[in-house]
Amino acid sequence: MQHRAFTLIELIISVALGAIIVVTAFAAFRAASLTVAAANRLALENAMLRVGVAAAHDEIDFWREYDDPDAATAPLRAAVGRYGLPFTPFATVWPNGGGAFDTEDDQSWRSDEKAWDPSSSRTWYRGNLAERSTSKMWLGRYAIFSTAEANTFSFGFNAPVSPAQSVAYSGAPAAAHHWYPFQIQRLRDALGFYGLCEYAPPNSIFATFDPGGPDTMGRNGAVLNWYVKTQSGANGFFRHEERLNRARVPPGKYRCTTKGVYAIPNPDGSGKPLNEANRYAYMVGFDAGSGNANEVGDFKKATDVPESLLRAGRPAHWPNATVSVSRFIKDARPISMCKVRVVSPVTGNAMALTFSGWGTSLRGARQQRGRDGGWARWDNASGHVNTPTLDDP
Amino acid sequence: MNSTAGRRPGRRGTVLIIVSGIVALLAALSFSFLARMRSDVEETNGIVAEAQARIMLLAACDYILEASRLGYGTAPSSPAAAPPGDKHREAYGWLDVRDGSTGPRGDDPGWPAFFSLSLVEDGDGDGDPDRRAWPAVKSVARCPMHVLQRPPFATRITAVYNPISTTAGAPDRGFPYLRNPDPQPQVTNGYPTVSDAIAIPSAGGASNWSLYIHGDTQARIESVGRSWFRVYRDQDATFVVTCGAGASQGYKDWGEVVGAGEQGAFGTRQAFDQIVGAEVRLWYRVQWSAATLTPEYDNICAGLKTPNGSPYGNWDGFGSPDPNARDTYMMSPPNASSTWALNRCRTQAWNKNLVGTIHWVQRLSGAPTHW
Repeated sequence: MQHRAFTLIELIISVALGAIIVVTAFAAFRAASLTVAAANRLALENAMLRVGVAAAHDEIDFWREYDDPDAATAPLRAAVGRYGLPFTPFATVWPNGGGAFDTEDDQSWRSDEKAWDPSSSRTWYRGNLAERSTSKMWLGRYAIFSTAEANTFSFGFNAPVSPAQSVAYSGAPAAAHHWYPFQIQRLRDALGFYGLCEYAPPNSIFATFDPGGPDTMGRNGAVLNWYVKTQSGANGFFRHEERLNRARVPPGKYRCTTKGVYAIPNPDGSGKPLNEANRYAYMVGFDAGSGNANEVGDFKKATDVPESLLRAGRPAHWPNATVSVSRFIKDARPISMCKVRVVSPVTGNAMALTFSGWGTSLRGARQQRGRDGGWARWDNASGHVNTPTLDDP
Repeated sequence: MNSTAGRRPGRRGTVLIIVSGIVALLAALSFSFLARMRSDVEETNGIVAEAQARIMLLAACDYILEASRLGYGTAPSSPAAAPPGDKHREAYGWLDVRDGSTGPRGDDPGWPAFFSLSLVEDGDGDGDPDRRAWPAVKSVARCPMHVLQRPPFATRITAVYNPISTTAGAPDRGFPYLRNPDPQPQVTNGYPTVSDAIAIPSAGGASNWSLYIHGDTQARIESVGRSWFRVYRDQDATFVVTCGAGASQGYKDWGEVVGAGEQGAFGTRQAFDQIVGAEVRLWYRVQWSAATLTPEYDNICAGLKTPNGSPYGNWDGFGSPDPNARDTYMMSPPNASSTWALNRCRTQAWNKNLVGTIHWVQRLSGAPTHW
């Protein structure tokens, strides 16, 4: 009887083939596992980027990182005297002083005036755009409306034209208007540099007439003072025009922010105290590399503050994504610069997505917030009374 | 005799099983990967829609800025009527910068308003007019952002109508003669024998002039249903802007669709509601200001930096040269389109941004009553 049995060769071949099959299967399953893991990781990173972008968009519009109406603390609503921060209620630093409506002496941010409403001709630009610089009137009758210091003043000085064209004024006419400089001054005090530049129309003149001098260059008898300078001695951190290559006359918003940057300090940022950072021109230069390295660093510390998407209770080994939205004015333009950063939990690779967005401005953000806490929902239904906001007296 | 007769059937089965397993494995991998990617894409669509809606905020702000002055002229006739019949009409802002009254208004005697307070639009579909026409206060501009087949007044995209001759020996070699009109209309005009009365057979014999000024306002199909914005003029210079990403074309609700007689665009109310349900809608409040840019007296002064002795130079206010007086604005003026010589100044008066600025923007937490 013939027995059917495996020969040694067959057995060896079988074992070898089996081993190959096992190894192949193992490699295949391992590859499959890695593929699935990689797909999951990519999907996770994509999801983190998506959520980060969505969070940045939300932050652009609602400013929660700067002032969260639902939080227990509100660092940017503090005030020292009449000097406030970007979210300090006007009721705290700029109360309605009462008195007759629409007077030149009105220094309050009145709800009935809706300060700086475009319909108010008092907010309109008062420079003389039609004049050439060689004209005797190229500064217009600036002193007549820009005097905040006194109701009357003397014209006993030479107007700021070239020597060949200097014109001597004389007499002591009454200043016809001074609501404008009052408002500029109080805005600067209540909100800081960024707030002043955003609330006032873009062609505002940030200067005042000072009949007694000296001007910002220490010269007696000059006419124009850049407003932010007026507090430099008292507070020490209102430095501005000394950093502007000895500007001859008060700069506007563009000139103030072409070498420097006005920023809203993130309350979680580091560096200067909030009040100082809110009244500071960071000299970041005209473009990348042209600024002062230390000031660029200070600017980043104050504004670029990554906030984790999972703030509370995130295990250390979990993937992390952060969002920062820096708010600043550069070249006269308000900018919201967003950065979404994602660190892969597997590879450790860091990715950053940077973009700027257009959304709620500081004034809009203040109008979103209730004067007495919480959010203020606005509606335009007939007869509806809206909740008082940070801008209401 | 079959050559495979000597092989054992079991081995063929093993190979089949192995191959089938590998194929199944690959298929499973591919399927799971595609499913994951599809899931990612679907999740990304939400962000894309959000981004599209936010882009509409920019579009709406641009519209508010430009509509403060432009867009109120009537299409000119051909041949041109006697003035002021074909006069191009511009306005002076949502708040007229001449006297602060409600704009937009023209500059004919009496500064006529380019709006009416009459109720002419049916905003709720009940058959009765209950809303003013744009641009009156409390009116609505609805702007679906599809691409037109051919916009009104479209011009050709020919880049160079008058190339400079480089032909050696040619009498006009190197001379920039402007012999041909530049630009020229997209609709043929018979140039060089220009006529406004050419019948265009492909347009049913309509005149080229009519086609030129009216365009072809049918939408390009690939651009339909993506995004829109609408502007509600809440006060003189304050607007409620609604930004949308979706196919509702900016209609607020079915009642407004009925009021506009556009039911055919959506079919049924249920279909419209489904479209609205899939949309991203964001609401903002914005205020327009007539102010433009920054005054920069500093520029005037610093631009005067010239060698000593110049009637325009030496100016530091006190008669001595100042090497620091030169201003960077002189080198990089924002939005300046004209200037004098370099020893003269560039002032705000030369800036050509004449449509104002957006003073502030406020995102609303939800839809207000009127939008």
